[in-house]
Parts: sequence; structure tokens; C-alpha cells
Amino acid sequence: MLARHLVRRLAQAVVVVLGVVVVSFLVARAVPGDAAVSATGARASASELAAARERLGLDQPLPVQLFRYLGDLVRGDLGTSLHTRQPVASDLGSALPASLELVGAAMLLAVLLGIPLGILAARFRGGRAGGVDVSVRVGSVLAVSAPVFLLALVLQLVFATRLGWFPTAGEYDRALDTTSPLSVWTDITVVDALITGNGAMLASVLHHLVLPALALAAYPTGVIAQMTRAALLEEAAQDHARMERALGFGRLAVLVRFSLRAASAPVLQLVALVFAYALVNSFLVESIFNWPGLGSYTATAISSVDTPAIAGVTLTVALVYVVLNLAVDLAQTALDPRVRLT
Amino acid sequence: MTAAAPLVSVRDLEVRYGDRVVSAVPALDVRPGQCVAVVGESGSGKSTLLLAVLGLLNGTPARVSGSVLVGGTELVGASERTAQGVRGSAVSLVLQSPQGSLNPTMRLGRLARHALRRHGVRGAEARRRVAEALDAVRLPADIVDRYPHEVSGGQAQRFAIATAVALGAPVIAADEPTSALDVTVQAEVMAVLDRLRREQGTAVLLVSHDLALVSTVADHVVVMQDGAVVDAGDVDHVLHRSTVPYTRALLAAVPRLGHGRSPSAPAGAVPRPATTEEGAG
Amino acid sequence: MSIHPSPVTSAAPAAPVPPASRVPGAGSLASRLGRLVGRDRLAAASAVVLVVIVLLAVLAPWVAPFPGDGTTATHPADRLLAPGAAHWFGTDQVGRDVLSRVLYGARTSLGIAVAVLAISAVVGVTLGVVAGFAGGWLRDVIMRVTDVFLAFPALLLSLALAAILRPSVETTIIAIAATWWPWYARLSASVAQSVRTRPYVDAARCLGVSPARIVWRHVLPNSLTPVLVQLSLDAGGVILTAASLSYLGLGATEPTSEWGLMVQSGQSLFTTHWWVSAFPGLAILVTAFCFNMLGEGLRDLLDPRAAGGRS
Repeated sequence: MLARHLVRRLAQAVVVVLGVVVVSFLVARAVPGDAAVSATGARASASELAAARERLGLDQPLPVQLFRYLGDLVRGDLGTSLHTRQPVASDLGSALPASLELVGAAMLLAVLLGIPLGILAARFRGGRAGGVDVSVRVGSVLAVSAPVFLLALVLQLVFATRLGWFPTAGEYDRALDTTSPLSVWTDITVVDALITGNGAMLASVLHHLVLPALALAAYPTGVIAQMTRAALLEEAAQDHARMERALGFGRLAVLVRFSLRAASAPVLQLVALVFAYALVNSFLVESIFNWPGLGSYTATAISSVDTPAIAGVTLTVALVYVVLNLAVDLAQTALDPRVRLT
Repeated sequence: MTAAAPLVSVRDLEVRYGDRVVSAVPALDVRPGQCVAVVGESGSGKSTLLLAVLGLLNGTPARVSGSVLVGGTELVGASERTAQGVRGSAVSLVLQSPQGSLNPTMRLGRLARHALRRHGVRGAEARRRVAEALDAVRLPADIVDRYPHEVSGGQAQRFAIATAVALGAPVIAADEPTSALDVTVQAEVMAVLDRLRREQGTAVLLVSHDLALVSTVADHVVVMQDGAVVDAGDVDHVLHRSTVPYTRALLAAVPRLGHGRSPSAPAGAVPRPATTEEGAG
Repeated sequence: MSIHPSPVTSAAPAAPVPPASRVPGAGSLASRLGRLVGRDRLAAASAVVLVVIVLLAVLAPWVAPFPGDGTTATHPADRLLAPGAAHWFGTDQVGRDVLSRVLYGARTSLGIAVAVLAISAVVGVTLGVVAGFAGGWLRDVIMRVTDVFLAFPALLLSLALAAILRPSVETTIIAIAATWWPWYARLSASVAQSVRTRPYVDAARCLGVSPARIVWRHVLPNSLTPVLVQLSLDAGGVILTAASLSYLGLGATEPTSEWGLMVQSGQSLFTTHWWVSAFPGLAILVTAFCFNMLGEGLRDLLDPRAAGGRS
């Protein structure tokens, strides 16, 4: 049963990945004007253009081009960025860790805030303290409705520019590169600083992380709080919750000790979905805080119409999304014994 | 009937939602070893009565007046903390859906240990109580390692009863405990309840619409209609000599009772045989 | 038991597609909407605010203090004036009245939302009904394609598509609609499938009633309520996504009044002239908030079980 479930999920993921590849192929080939022109320069002769066309495979029919593109992908070749003139794969390799750091911090905040808020809202639903539920509801809808770039701008203006509590931009204090340089293990600065015991660097990164992570965490916090509330209330409406109440457990205990585990399945799945969403949302935040991640890279790629780079970003983020979904599906199987049945 | 003091004593209970009275019960006592059945169609207020006896109406929009004494504790107007102390230890619940009433994410043993710890019983004492309770309901000891979806409906219901026994709850409130079960499994479950009444003096407050079942197990019957008690009394009286039209109409809808099959033993603490054939009635 | 991913893109944790069996008929819709006002004050208030926003958008050429500023006019002499009596929301870097542009921006945003949702609903419901009703390989193909589209975060796919096409309002509409229809396809496929298996539909089929007629008489009316709920939940998400695309430079272009674009163009001035970005940003927030609030209210009212998170 379990094995068949795994195989089916994997097969689905493969179909999705193929679709993702086709889309990114279309994006990559949609170079404005002529890719051969971009590759050779505007003053190239006709024969140079023809040679470039042949080299790039642009004279081949589209399916052949797609096949080649697939072959390139398998070898880790995502093409060359028109803007940085570097291989897109290596560009992404250097930009992704900073993004994962930022999105990871935001998601951590969102889970730490969203789940307790959802529990609170579920606990005080209706009743005399219904105000708690309404506040959480309004707060989470606000968080979900706020354009993340507006949030980022306001946080930056208030807490960095005006109050000066946090730095305005950057990932860490660049002066530290000379005073306490970081030895690189994972490329994720905060992790490297942690495992090498580089306290000065760790403090600096965390200090820089607060504002962008907060801006990015708003949406995930809102949806996680709402989903936690809804899933908990759904569980609490089941017969077993009445049974647990009848055994002498209070409302909060029934929610936290008995319902949270079953409710965590949809919440967990949501976390994975929202992670990918936050990764895309980071495109809107990073350039404001000058965070050296995928978002800043994408913003530049968009403004310079760098289609191979955009295709690479699309592919990478979509793959992260597919892998996360798969991972969550498997984790769910472990969390909720009922899922194993089907 | 019996001299023992009632374990549950309801007086002038009235439960309202807004202006609508959903359950009004002038008087109801449940004494040790007794089985009191509350019958009526859905919406008659019988399940609301059960919630009131468990103190589960506190904190809901329902307005409750009158008196509900359970194990000597007044539940009407009681704090949630007081009600929580009564639930599980003075009265325990068995619900209709066998697997649905057990937490799907927990092995049965964990659920029982949680419940016992909630009432201050832990460690070896908890294990001993669970083992004894499982024995009392004729469940294998290793059932504690199973998840609810891995046991049968009858086993799940007997486990719910076992939890009540382990907690030492003298009253089991049962809401349609057998209506989701096959006839033979129904008999098993009722036999277990019967034995507990006989051997441990456990009382049962049974809510059911199944008059055939009620006729074989109950000592005392309360008939409810549209939130009000319309008939009450000794099981033999209510099922055979009642003059209340509604009761007669209910009975007429049950063909087998119409043929006058009489309930087995008279009410009270008199031991009654608990064979499967009879339990199936 | 399988748990579908939630439509994160709809900006609310709306739950997976509810089984259609309990979807109430369309007849009770009006009375239920009436009850919304009494039961859910927040949703009702949001509806009122939305009506005002729609009116302001429609009447923008008449209510905007400087209608010309909504499109092409510039007044270099009046640049970056702080909010005051003449310009309630101040002026931007080329001297245009921010209030007028916010009002014109409402036309753009609401127009995009209407177009995206109309396209998504028509395409999605059609494909979904075909998939759910036809079954077999056709269903498999449609649903697998739907899965692929759902596997992209909406903003990412919109971004990729917008990068292929030239930045414009039309591009925004196409790019977002391309990511939004799968939700409607999945929703109506599940409705169609559950209707298909009902006895009266079997009976109708045995009597030789044409499939088209069955779809028209039974499937579409049953899809109405969940689709309506989904539409109101999605409107806020569409407006946010459109604003994000134009913020990134992939949507509307100058001199069109578009909220995301306005925030972007004022961003570098934010520390000194906050009003250029703040008012269009707030406009996005308020509009998205009201749509989400209304959508949730409608969902709880029309389809209460779907609020529960799982089916």
C-alpha cells in the first residue's frame, strides 16, 4: 500500500517536472528579438549570425530544441545569462543560499507565530472571549492582503531609517569580511556563522534578517493561523473531541494535545505551499533591502530582459516547490496513521 | 427502587437556546447498578440531557437552569474546572460512532494513559487499572498498541467502556452506543455493560431510540418529545402499560415489542442474566 | 484519505474542493446573501466598502480632482507636493495628483480582476465540467495538465509568462488568468463528478437526455455556489498579483495609473516623500482586504463545511 502510494506520488511529480521544464524552455527561448543577435552582438555579419544560430540550435525544429534543452538541463547547463554573462546555473547557485536563508527565517517566524495564533483563535471561538478570534481573523486577513513590498517599505522607513533599530539594507556588515571573515561550508551565511562559532557574524546576519524576514513572514503567518484555526475546529467538531472533553480534558488540551496532530497534516502541507509562495514573494522584498538573493537577481533579470536567467529562476523555484510538496506528502504519511490506509 | 443514593440527580433542568427550550427534565435519578434509558426521536432533547449531565453545555450558547448533581457535585452554573473534575471520574461517555469517538492519531493505550494521568493516576497503578479494565470488558491486553482504525467497532466501544472503568467512573453515559454496530456485536457490548452493572455496580444512563434494546436492558425509562419529558417510569410500566399516546405510538412502530415480548428481569439491583441472545433483543 | 493542496494563491486558506453533494441549490442564494448582513458584520462592511470602491472607479473621470493626471498630463511645476488642501494625497515626481491616479488605478486593478476571473472561470469551469462529466482518458489528460499548472506558485508562472510577452495590462491579464483557471477546473470537475453519479442523472441518461442538457440543468447550477465563493476569495489575490507584476515591471506601463507601478515608481523617494508610494499601496491593501473578508464571509455562509479545512 505504502509503496504504491509512493510510486504514484513520484510518477505525478515526474509529470509535473516535465511540464515545468517545458514552460521554462519556452521562457528561455523567448529572447526578445533574436537570441543569435544577443549572443553575437548587434554588428555581427550575416555569416556570423548563421553560425551562432547553428551553434545555439535555433535552426532546428522546436521539439529537437526542447530535447537538447533537456539534455543541457541534465548536465546542469541552464544557459548563459544575457546580463551577467555568467552561466545561469552558477548565478543561481550563488543567489539561492541567501534566499533560502531569508525565506527560511520568514517561515520559521510564520510557523512560530501562526500556529499559536490559530490555536488561540480556535480556543476562544465564539464564547465570551470571542474578541480574540475576531482579532486573529482580522489580523490574518490583513496580513494576507498587504502587498509585501508596501510592508517592506514601511518597516524599513520606520524601524531602520527613522528609529535606526535595524540596518536599512544588506545581509551583514561588510566590515566583518575583514575583521571576522566567515569560512564557507553551506553558503548559507547564518548557518555557516553558527557552525563555525562566528558570533560577530551571526549577530550581524540576524540583525539584518529581522526586517526583511518580518515583511516576508506576514503572508505565511496569516494563512498558517487561518489554516490552523480551521483545521483545529474541524478536528474539534469530531466525535473524538467530545469524547476527550468527556474524559475531563479542557478545550485547550483537546485542541493542543489531541487535535493538533491530526490538524497538522493540512497545516504542514500549507507550510510547503507557502514556502514556495514566500520564495516568489522574496522577489518583491529583496531588492528593497538589497538582500543578495534570488529576488534581487530576478529583479535585475526582469529589468534587463534576461530570459535565460528568468527561465532558470522559474525552473529552480518550481522544482523547490515540487520537491517540498513531495516531502510534505511523505511526512504526512508518517504523521497521520489514517493516511497510510489509502 | 433501591435505597442507594443517586449517582446522578437531575431536578427541574431546563436548557434553552434563545427562547426555545430544547430539553426540560423535571426529575431524573440514576442509582448504582441501574440502567436508565432516555428514549425519543432525534431532536427530542435526549442528547442535550446527556451533555448537561456531563457539564458540556458550559461555555456554549445554551442557557441552563435547574440542578444537575453528579457524584454530589452541582454542574449547573459550575466552573469549567469543577466540571472537568467530574467528567471522566464521576461520569464517563460512550458515543455512537465506535472508531470516530477515539482519537485517530493515538494508539489506544496512549489515550487511556493520558486520561488516567488527567485524573492523577500514573505509572504502575495506571497500567494495572488499564489491564484490569481491559479484562473486565474482555479485550486482549495487546489492544493498547493498536490505532482506532485497526480495531473493530465492537472492540472500539468496549475500549471506550474500559476507559470509563479504568477511571473508576461509577456512571457511564452512553449515547446510542450500539446503533452503529451489527446485531451480534451490539449484544457483546450490552453484555459487557450488563456485567459491569452486576459486578461493579456501575450505572448506565442510556440514550437510545432503539426501544427493542431498551426493553431488554433498562430498569427505568424516560420518554422525551420535542424537548419535554412526556412519560417516565419503570420499564415494564412504560413499555407495557403506558397510557401516554406518544409512548404508545413509539411502541407501535416497533413490531417485535407489539408481540408482547416482556423484558427479562425486574428493575433494581437484582442480578440479570447477560447472554448474547438476550442482549441482542 | 488524500488531502489536496490548498489554493494558497487565493490569498486565504480556503480549503480544498468541497464535495458537491451538500452544495445548496441556487434558489436559496439571494436569501442567504441577505443573511450575510445580519450575521457577519465584517463581511457586510467589506461589501459596502467594495461598492464604494467600484463606484469611485467607474466614476473616476468625474470624481477625480484632476482627471487628466490619471492618464497623460504632467505638471513639473507641482512635483512632489505634500498632501494638502489642493492635493489630498500629494503629487508625484512629475506633479500628478496622487489621489486622481489612485482613483484611476482602481479602474485598472478592478478591470484586471474582472477580466482575469471571467477568463479563468469560463475556461476552468468548461474544462472542469468536461473532465468531470466525460471521465476516462479525457478527464485524466485535463486533470494532469491542471496539476502541472497548479504546481507553479501563481506569481511565478505569471512572472514567467509576463517575461515572454511585452509588459502591458493585457499581458498581466493573460499571465494571471493562465495560472488561475486550474482552480476553477478542479473545483467544477469535482462538482461535475459528484453530480454525475447521482441517481437522477443516471435516470436522465437512461431516458436519453443529452449530456449537454444534463450539464446545463444539473452540473452548472450545482457549480454556481462554490464558484461564486471562489471568485470572491480570489479577487483579492488577483489584485495583489497584478500589483506585484507591475511592481516588478512586468505589467502596466507608464503613464497608465496602476497601483503596483505607482508604489514602485515612488519607492526610491519613500523616506522623503512617503505619499507617492503609500497611498497606492494602501489602496491595494484596502481593496484586497475587503475582497478577502467578503469572500470568507460568503464561504462560511454558503459553504460552511469548506471552511473546515479538509473534506
